[in-house]
Amino acid sequence: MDSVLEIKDLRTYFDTERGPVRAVDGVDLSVAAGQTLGVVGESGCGKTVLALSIMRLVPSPPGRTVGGSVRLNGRELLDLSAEEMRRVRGREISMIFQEPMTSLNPVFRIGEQIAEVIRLHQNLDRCEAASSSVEMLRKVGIPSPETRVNNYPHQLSGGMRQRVMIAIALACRPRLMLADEPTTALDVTIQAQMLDLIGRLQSETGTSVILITHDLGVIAEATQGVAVMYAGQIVESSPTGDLFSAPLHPYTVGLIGSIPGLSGSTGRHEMLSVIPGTVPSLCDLSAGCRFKDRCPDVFSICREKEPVMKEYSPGHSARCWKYGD
Amino acid sequence: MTMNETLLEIRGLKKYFPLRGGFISGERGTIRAVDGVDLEIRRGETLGLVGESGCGKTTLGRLIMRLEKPTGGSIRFAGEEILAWRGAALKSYRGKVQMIFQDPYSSLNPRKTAGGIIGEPLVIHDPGSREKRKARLNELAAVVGLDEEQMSRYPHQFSGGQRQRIGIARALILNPSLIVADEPVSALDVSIQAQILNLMKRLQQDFALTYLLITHDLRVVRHMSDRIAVMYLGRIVELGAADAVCGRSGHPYTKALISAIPVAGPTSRTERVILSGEMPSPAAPPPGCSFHPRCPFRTEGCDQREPLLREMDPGHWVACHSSHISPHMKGGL
Repeated sequence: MDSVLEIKDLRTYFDTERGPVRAVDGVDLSVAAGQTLGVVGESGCGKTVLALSIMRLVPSPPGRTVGGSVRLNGRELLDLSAEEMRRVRGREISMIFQEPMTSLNPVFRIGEQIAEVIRLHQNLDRCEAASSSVEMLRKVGIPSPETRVNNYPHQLSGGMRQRVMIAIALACRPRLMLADEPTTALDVTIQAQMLDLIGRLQSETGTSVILITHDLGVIAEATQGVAVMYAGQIVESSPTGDLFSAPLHPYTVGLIGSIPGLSGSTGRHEMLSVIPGTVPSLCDLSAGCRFKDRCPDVFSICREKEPVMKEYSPGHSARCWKYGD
Repeated sequence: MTMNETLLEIRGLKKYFPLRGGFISGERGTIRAVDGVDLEIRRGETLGLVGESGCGKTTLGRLIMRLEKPTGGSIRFAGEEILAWRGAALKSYRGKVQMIFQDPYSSLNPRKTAGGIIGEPLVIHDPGSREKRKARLNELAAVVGLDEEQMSRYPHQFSGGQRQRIGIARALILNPSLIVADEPVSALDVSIQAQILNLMKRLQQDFALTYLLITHDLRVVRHMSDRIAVMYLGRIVELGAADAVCGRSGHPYTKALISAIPVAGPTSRTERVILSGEMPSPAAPPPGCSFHPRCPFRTEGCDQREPLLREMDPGHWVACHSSHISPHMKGGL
């Protein structure tokens, strides 16, 4: 399969008074053309920093990408000049964020904000850009787009704003879209509309998507492949179906177990399975596996040596000593 | 523990907020946040109240806590009308009904120690001797899984899950009979969420607590509740045993809510009902059934007559014109 994005050993650290925080620490990832890859993890696992590193938007200082490679269609993004990178953003990779209110500019009409991206990357005049922004709004399902282009962000609801964000992100038909918790701030019925919309537009444009979320349910619904992140590293990656039917890493098993189920009779006294403790601090990681203090199956090697990613079945890898070295 | 005795009974409860205009003009209308709710909470049960943002579920919780003054209706606690209570009677009621808040970051005073926060209700309601208070504080800390030595720390020194434990200990210290938990786990990561939900279940068994669990997350509600009430635009549209509401939903909105939840698993799902549009503004609710503009099953008359809650099966109430007749309602998800 052709991969659109190929990440190798990406490392992004933040300098703090207590030493470097290794927010992204040796991530390998590849996204195939037209695929939706999910990245799942809890707060602080580094999933947002991973997206920002791909876009080269990590605030620096204190952040810096210290090593690795990010190739988009074979081109190394980390070597591009700031000006070259600016042309990549929006045209080849775009991003949508969790909070649609703060990522739209409150003082510009939404039509102007869509047209801005279009004019920046395509040789269209003001008039053509304006009509294609109406077209984009129609595509993302905003009713009466001709009048809506003249609205300001505050005149739209949360769901509508997220539709506008998607319109901006897809205006130039990018090869890759990064969606960072795109539905977290929305109600479930609106979330369902949004996942449906992203999937539909994706099959129209052939854009690959990296969908970052903390919700395993969203992963199951909307992705073909998934990478589980823990403490700055990918601890398991697999086709989405395999992750739920045969999870390998104890962290993945714990995550799946801690979601309250909807079906079946959950008895009144039934408890959820729990991952004890909390995520380790990323500035003073001790030797060995990062999950060892919360893991139900620790061995002595787990405390001494950091496990490496190994493939256990086609496309299904995990970073765990449990399955032998 | 009997589950049939009514602890809290709400009848025709309404809360309208005035919608003010610019600086000089007066009211422009009213927001009907809670618009005629009947509900009873039975001793020892967990009643889950579920709905999307803006449906009025938090206002309903605040009305029960007497943190808002209702526009109309009545609330009876253990048989007595509470809305007229003032002074000592109200104070004693507030000792028996406690609240757990959503955001463990903003609901704890940053300048007080954990011990000060947890012990404050005791100082107000039941001072006693310093030693007795300290003993009770340490007992509570142990119950929610915190250490005695952590009691001298400040909220910022705790993680989100630990902060929520502090909030729970504070709610429990007066031995309340009813706890209103407003989105107690929404701000937490899933692995921490499971810890807190388990803790709440264990405490319910140990202390014979009654919960009103307010949340937008049907999975959490389904896992925790004996009965579920579904709220839409200020009204209860469906009420019944958790299994019945989730398995044999009578209201199209409940059906849509359930089918909108992404299922974490490789299991196949039934056809998803994707609702068009969004919840209308409670300042201008649609005529007739307030759900009709988004309802995939609307028929003639839905935009004229407002449906009342009717008993579909014993104990399972649904406010929908077509819930009795049309075949689309048969069978669960």
